[in-house]
Amino acid sequence: MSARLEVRDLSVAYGASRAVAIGGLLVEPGTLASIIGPNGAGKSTLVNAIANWSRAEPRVDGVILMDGENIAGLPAHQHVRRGLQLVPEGRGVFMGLTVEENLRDGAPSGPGRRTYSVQDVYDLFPRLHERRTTPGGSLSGGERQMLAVGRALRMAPKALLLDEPSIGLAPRFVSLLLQTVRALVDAGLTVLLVEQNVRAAMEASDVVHLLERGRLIASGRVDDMRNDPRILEAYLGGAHG
Amino acid sequence: MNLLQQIVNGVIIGHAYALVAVGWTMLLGAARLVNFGHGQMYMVGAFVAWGVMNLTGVPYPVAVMAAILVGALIGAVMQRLLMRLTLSRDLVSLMIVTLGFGQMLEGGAGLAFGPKPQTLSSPFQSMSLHFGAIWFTVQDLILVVATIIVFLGLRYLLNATRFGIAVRMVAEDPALTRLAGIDISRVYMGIFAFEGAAVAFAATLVAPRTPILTSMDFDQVVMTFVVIVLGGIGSVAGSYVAGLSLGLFTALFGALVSPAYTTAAVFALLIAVMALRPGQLAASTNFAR
Repeated sequence: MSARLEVRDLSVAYGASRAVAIGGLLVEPGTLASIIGPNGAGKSTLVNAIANWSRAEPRVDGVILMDGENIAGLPAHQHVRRGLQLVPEGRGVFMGLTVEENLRDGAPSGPGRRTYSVQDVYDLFPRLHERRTTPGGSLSGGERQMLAVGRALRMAPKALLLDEPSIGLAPRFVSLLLQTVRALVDAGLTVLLVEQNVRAAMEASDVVHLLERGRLIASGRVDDMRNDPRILEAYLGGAHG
Repeated sequence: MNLLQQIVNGVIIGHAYALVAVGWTMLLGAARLVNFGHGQMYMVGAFVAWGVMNLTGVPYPVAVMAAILVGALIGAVMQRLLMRLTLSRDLVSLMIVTLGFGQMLEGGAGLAFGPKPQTLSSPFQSMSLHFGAIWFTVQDLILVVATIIVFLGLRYLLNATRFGIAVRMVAEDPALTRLAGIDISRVYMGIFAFEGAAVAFAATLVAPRTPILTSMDFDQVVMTFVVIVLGGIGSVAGSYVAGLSLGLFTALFGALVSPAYTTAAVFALLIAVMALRPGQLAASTNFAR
């Protein structure tokens, strides 16, 4: 079975400076893979490049395979239509639209794609149902992240790229959100997660990739990576941390 | 002087201002774009209706439809030509390029329709309704009713339709809109087509009131600009209120003070508003309200 998502020889550059260079990265169907690493390592640049989306204008080269089809270079909205959905860091909802309006648009289901109805999203995040007539701009940070994930699910993704969903959230929201993501993965969704909170990411993930200075320096099953000295020391507060 | 009649005149002129401005309001509110070719698009709308009537002899309402179609087409072509600038929201370049686009329209219209003043004749212009001391034409009544329908329709479009919500998404965050699987260049094209169609429609309803010239664009741009700024850049409801207020202001100022200084007074009002609430020049995210 081919990987849901495969990245080969990807390089991303802003002007003359190269931000990310990745030889290869695989995400198997129905798994949760995390990209961890320090600030400025290029984690967001990497997932944005996979979705061919950015607020800046980077130069992206490489091969991105989605279920074996090369989608590199297609406009961002075409990625979405093929089932590759990015939830960007920071602003992922429309402030001027109510929760209901934010969730209104949905993609039809297709082969291998589960359609989440508005009600499904409310079932996952009951808080959004209570706030359904509130504009996105008046939601709390945690509610906004739930809405951003809900919006993404409405697009019936085959693979979800989640960029720092926990940023700025209270600890209980972080674990609630990641538990929900884990439940979605257990139900069949494929997720590539960028996360600063390494401990929380390790708890939810199947596979972990460590990114430093734009390069993948370690990848493996979460149980193996937990004992990797590079992660233990730098991120999990090991003996020398 | 009949004050009531002046108020009626003001209401009519005000609706004309609002209808002429509605396309640009949408363009500015939804796409944060300016179009200094707006006045020439108004002129072309009026002349297309005039030309179609004179060439084919079709009745006025058919000519109105033709002008709307040509207007939408001009808007769509404009978006295609300005694609890169619209996607990057390069405002200064857009101002200059749309100004140039307008000059091209004016030159083309001059060649096609000649330099002489013409009359777009609507059968409704000669039908008048009298109520005691006040009167207005059926054309005026159509203008007012059509304006109200267009504004209510736009409000419905923006708040309750899929396209309208896509427009509001593009207005707030074009980059994020791509992640909803939406091809934003098509949304921009719809917005430009609406701008073109709306200003052409306005022209066919307003132009029968006065002779038309291929060089008549300037006044329309100026008044439209005032309506948009007073309305709070890009606010749909604001533009309606601003158009109506400006119409009443010009009618009453003309009657009570002097018609010769009306335009100067409008500009004094504009400067005062811009000085007192400069923050309003930044478009709000709630333009659909």
